[in-house]
Amino acid sequence: MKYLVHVPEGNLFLTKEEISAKVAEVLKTCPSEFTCVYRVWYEGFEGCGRPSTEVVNIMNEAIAAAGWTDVGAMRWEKFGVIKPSFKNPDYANAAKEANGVPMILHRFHQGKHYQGPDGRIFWIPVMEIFDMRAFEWKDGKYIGTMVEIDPMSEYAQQMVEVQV
Amino acid sequence: MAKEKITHSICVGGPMTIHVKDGVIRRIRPIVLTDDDAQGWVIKARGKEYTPQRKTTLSLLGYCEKDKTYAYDRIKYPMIREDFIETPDGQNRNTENRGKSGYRRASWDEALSLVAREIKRLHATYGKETLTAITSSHHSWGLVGYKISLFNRFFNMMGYTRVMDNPDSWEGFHWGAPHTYGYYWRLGGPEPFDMLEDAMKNVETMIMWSHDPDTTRGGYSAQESALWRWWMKEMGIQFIYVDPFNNFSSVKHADKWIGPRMGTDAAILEAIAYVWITEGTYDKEYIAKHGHRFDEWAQHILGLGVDGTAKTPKWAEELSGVKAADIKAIARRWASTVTTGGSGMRGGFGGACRTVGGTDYARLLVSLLAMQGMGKPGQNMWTGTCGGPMNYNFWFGGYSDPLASIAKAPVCDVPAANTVSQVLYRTNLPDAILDGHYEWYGEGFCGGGLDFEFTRHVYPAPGCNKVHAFWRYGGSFYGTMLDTNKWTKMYQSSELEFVINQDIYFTPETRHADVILPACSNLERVDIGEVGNSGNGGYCSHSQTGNSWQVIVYQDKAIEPLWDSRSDFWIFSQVAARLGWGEAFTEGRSEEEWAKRFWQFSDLPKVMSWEQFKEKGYYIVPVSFKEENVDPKTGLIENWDRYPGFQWFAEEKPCNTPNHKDFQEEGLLGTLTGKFEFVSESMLYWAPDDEIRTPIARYKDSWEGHKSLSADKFPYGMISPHPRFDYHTHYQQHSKWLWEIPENRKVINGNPYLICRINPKVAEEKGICEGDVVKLFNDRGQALCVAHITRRVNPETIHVYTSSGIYNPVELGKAGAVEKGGSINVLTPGRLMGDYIPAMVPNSCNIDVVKAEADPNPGQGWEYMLEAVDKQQEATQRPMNTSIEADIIFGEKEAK
Repeated sequence: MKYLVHVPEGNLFLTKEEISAKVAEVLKTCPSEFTCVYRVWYEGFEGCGRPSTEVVNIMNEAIAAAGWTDVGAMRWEKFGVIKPSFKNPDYANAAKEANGVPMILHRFHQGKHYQGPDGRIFWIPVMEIFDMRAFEWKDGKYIGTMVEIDPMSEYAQQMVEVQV
Repeated sequence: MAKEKITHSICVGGPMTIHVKDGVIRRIRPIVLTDDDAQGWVIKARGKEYTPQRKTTLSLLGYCEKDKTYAYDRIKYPMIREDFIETPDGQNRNTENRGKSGYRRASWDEALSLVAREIKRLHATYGKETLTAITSSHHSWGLVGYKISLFNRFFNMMGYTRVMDNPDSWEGFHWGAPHTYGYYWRLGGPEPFDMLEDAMKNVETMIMWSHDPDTTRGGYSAQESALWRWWMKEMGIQFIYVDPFNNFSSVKHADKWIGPRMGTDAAILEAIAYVWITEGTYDKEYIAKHGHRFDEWAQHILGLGVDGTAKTPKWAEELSGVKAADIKAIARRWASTVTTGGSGMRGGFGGACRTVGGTDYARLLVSLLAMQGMGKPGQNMWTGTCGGPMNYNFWFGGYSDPLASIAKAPVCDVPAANTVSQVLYRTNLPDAILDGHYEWYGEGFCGGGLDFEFTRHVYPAPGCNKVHAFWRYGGSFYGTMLDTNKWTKMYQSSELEFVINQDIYFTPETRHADVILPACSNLERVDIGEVGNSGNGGYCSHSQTGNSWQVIVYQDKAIEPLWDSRSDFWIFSQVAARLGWGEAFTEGRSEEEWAKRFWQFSDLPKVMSWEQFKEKGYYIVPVSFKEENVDPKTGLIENWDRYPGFQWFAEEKPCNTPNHKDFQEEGLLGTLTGKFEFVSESMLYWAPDDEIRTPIARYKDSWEGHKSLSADKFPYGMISPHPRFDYHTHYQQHSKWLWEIPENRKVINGNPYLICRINPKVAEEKGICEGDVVKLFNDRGQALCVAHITRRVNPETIHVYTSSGIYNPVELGKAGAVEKGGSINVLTPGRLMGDYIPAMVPNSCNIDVVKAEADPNPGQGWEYMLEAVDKQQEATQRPMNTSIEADIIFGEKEAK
């Protein structure tokens, strides 16, 4: 059986295996921590219009088969709430820079808390390539003044995300 | 002789140095930099060096701050409507007299206690959602006093029905452009970062579409960028201005002015694309790599699509009135020279996007810029306003920054969160109150995601009561919202049992309140802020790049609060105290202590102590701190960390510009496909049946325009762009200095009539002469203006600035009465752009014009209300300052 996949070049009619292979190819080089069927469809396939229910099911199966973990419903700024969404099993080893430019938002999560090698915990509310700003979190409170952390420093590389 | 005291502050017109003697403001000047201030940057381009003058600039509005502080229309005392009756059930309060009735002088304790009693009654009767409140934009500058800070802290702690703002200044870009190139988190605007240098080095042609930068000043950026455009002009860059009004910047800079008929810009853009496609003069390689469904779109342009119409220059000429030859000439110059362009003050604004076709216009403009290789050197979306060199590595909070609010941690200890989920929508607030039901799509400012454009809202929200009380804070919507006669109807409705107005001035909306709480101005209280900084990470981030200097100011109190006015912080803390949570509200901090928190949570402590900062009054952030970046010959800074907007995309590198998203680091845009979408997948995904915002952006006849039915009756298109002589509604009524400008107003019989601009042909047909009073009218309202006859508008267009702070109906408090104060918004349509698009469209407005007579009644008509209260004060000899007796002490610290 073949399924309609509409791309800018025109209508393609692909088998389940062909769609699954294409999904696997897209995911192989994907540096993202999470994905969902619509990311793969639009960004990976450059799909036009919405995929059919059958194609969605095939793609979801293919994402799971590639080892990505189902994390339930997630809100995507581009699509709204999508279920299932998937977590990249190889995110830690995925690309963190390209052409010499670091991908800073792939290294740290803005708004999260991180623990440094000295045990101090920081909340990182501002994080872009040129300024990663943090507040120390202690005893349930933010203390002191704003701290600047160089995202490429050794200290930053050893920071680990923690829940507070 | 008393010693002169010098303080500093900020207004939307720029940073100010304030000279005070004997407790009176004598002069307001720009900040002149001293030797210990940072050196400026230097741009070396085309064999010359360009560096800003060593002083900041002030727009004309900034210079009016002195006149405005001592304005005739300041609210001197707390006041209560003279026929307001505090009935126990909120009924029979003579609400129909709001806008007509006068006021009586009250003490602060009387006014504040009444407000607190009413809030308690309303909460007990209907719940917290019964009170709604809203501010105008930018009526006050400073991180403590700004609405997202102080206002949010008070109302979030109390709980209230929030009113969503609509992006009234750039509707089409907000609701349209993200569907072509993403940037929903920048609310549809482009990346202007470091674009000044890029333009000075590379650009040959600037397309200034629907753009009057010397008027709109780049948005809170004084006149800083005016110098940049002179530099560009001097170096031979050609400027093409497209605007139905040959605007004030165009007459200075334009090599060519194109004046299309209102709302037909999209047709011209399609015709330009037609020329490029048929002549093969677009960047095919770039489009092949970065465009999505371009071929389908090109077929539509060539007439091979569903409508079968080729979008030729001749086709566009018929719609727009712009000659086909001119359209071809623009197209060829644009394609054959290095061209940068955009719309309005930040590249994604402008009057053309405030028409029914505003989203089509915005999307097509982005599409055309993409066709010429957007992001390549000199090929970008930029309009000569923002994008000056800046030190992005120096952190100080901007007004919309989550870290720059006293409602949020870490600035406050306990964040203030609103417990009421019900919301209202600003443009249609009167409809919701009057009809008791309203529905719309979208979250207002949809920076949080494309999906936020399509959320459905219903008022009243399930399980919630309707709104019965309104707290209005600063400014007047009579001049900025549309079809504004309905605001009078709303105020006079008995549905609103209680109306509070907190303002510095006796504005048109203040006159409709039951209780008036007089706030003092920025110059009478302490605050802190950065010039032009809209927020690092907040919406339209880093708009301080519209300035040549990055200036952080300690906004010291220049004079004590005048008359019986007090700061907004004091007012809110006093109400909070009377409601039982004053200490929680202030957290024991004074205004200065709150201001110090913003110093503390920034990079300022690295360069100066709090005491040094207060003493100096401001800090100039150098564009680089590194010694090696200084030109040894001149001492100017010649190198800094640069992040040119959009170049990352053209060069296929991870995005490193400020305010970016994780998917940009993967080389993707914020569209669904991550490419420029010539057929919008997000429109197909969310609203494929939308008839206004179609998947392919294209010109459509407007539901109010030259082809609509109303054009038979009202044949002229009225454009009402952002004002040259005001900012929102915050200056016109208060500073009479502005009335002396002939291009702005003409005072007849004591009333300042607004100038409207009419083509000589129309004037002749209608028997109108220069300086005549004319009536602009349609089925929605009628407004008296004074005619200026000029060829700067074409015959089909009448130009009159929006945002009149003055609203003077000849019959006070009567909806539909002839308006003589210049609030031509009584004429503009209240209908939203489309079923799915909650955008207002002031520039889709058909009117007619006739010669008229000035109102025989003298003055503005409402001055007697303030005079009566002055007389009461004189007669009773009540102490001028009643706030001392009203002070409630809570905790260990008095809320002063």
